[in-house]
Amino acid sequence: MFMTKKQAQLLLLAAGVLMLLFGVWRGEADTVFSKAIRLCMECVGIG
Amino acid sequence: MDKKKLNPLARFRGFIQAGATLLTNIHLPNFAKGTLYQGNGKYVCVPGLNCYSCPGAAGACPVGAFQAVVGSSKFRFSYYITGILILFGVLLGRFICGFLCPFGWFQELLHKIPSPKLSTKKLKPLRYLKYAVLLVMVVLLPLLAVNELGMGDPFFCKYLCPQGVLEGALPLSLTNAGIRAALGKLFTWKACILLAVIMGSVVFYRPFCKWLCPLGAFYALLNKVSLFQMRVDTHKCVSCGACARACKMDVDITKTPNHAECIRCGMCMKACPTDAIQYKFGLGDQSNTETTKE
Amino acid sequence: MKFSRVTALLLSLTLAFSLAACGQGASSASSASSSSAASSAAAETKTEEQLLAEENEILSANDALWEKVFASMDKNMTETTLSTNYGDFLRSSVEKTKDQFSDEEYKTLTADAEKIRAIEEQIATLALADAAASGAAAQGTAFPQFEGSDLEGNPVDNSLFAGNAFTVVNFWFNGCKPCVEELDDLNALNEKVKAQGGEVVGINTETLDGNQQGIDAAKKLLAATGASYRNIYFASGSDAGKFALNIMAFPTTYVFDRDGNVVGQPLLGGIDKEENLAALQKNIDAALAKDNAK
Repeated sequence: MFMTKKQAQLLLLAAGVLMLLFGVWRGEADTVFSKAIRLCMECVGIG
Repeated sequence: MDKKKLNPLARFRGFIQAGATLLTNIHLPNFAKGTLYQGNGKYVCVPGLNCYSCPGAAGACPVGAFQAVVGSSKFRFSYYITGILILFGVLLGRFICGFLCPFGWFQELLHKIPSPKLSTKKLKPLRYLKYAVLLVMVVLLPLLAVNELGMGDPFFCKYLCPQGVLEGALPLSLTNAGIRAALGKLFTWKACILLAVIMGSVVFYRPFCKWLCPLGAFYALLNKVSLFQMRVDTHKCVSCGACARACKMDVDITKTPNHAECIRCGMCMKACPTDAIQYKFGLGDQSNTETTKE
Repeated sequence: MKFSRVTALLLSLTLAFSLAACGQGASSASSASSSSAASSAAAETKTEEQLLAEENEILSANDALWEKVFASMDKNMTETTLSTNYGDFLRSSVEKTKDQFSDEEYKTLTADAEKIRAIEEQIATLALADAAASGAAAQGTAFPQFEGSDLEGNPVDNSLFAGNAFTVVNFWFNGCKPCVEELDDLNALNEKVKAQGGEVVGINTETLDGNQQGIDAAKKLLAATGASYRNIYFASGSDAGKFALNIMAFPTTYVFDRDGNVVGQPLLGGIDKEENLAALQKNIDAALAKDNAK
């Protein structure tokens, strides 16, 4: 292995946090919110 | 059996599952009102598979939210949801499936219904289906099958997810005549899927988790590196094979303690006569098998 | 053997469940509608009965006189028009048989006929009110008073409804794929119903309070789909704003009459689907019939 398990874990945790922050920064959370508070007909299999 | 030594997590798993399901769907009055919770909780996604169109849902569904972002005209990928899922996966792995997922619990409850139980050992190849579901229905189709405005459908939600029918369409149609009137072919199709999963869950253990769930697939990819892990004490282990026989996810924990399919349910711990199997939480490799170097 | 037995059992259970599901869904829906119809009908007949009893009392009070009128009425019975007020009919019958009665008797008879005319009018308004109630009661009431503007900034208020024989109001938001995909169909509908004195109006819940970002996005989508009908917004805190934000499923399309009252059951789902367009057309036809009846 090129990387120990510990290194992989730390790398992934850092990547996770960075991706999360980047996503919030570019406004993805608003898109999630606007979908999650409304019932879109196709999302639950109506119609 | 020495019940006292059994880890409380494993011992009270059923209660934890019930509690997690309740917390995930805490807005109970909405079931009677037939409305959705519209508060700030919906900015964040919950760890398990739980439809955000469920009247009680406290947060967004990670799979639904990912597709919503990818399918929107503004974005082509969701760093936000992927980031959250990586964090969940690295911290807990498929512990989420075994303890926190409402749909996993639902299938387990169904499995308690007395009936002939069938082994899934010979159906192992079907496990790879869920990775295809993740790649095709959750990522590729919402990204590529778009209209001229760049909007895609949430293919997994729309065509496959039984949780949406169970938690969304059914309770809402009970209280809302307009929704009842709108139920069409798509609902029939998805109700059939739900029925098939319900039937399947009675005879098989967690069929949806094993074969179809894209969320389970994502956590499975991270199960090997999750901080929450299993440790097999090779000095205590007498190689009796009781753990492998007890495992309903068809994993031999002595060979692969952090197998992608292990949902950390702890049935092997209950079965182990020498208490050789434990939960561990921490960085690095905590499994005490011969292959420490890996 | 064992496996085939299990599959057989599974299959039969699935079938039974699906049948039960369908049957239940249909029966619950139909029982709901029939019970509401029955209850409203009961309320109507009860008061109508009371009024009819009053009429009979009036007639029986001067039994002997009315007998004479009825006796001579037989010949005219064939030309009785059911649409005329029964009181008017009695009155004219009395006029025709005037010479058979004294002045005193004639006065009593005309007074009676007048009373019956008043009661008949009451019954008529009762039936009208009931018809209106059954339409509006389906989804509450009228569109709340509002003052807002269209996306170009021109002021709009409730007079919008009075200017049209009927108004189709479509609720949508920018991230909703089925909503966006019916915009061109709504535009076509708007062109079509103009001749009938109707209008299609859009309300995008993301444009409330004049949210510039939402308005820009909505304008882009409307332009891209070639939709030119009016889209309006108002304050989210107003009654109309609450009405709009209470709508949970998208797209939802209402039909309002000239007074701003809801006609029929609001439609959930895009009218790019034939069955949905048909359902909307039903509401439009009902609104038109109501407007012509005035």
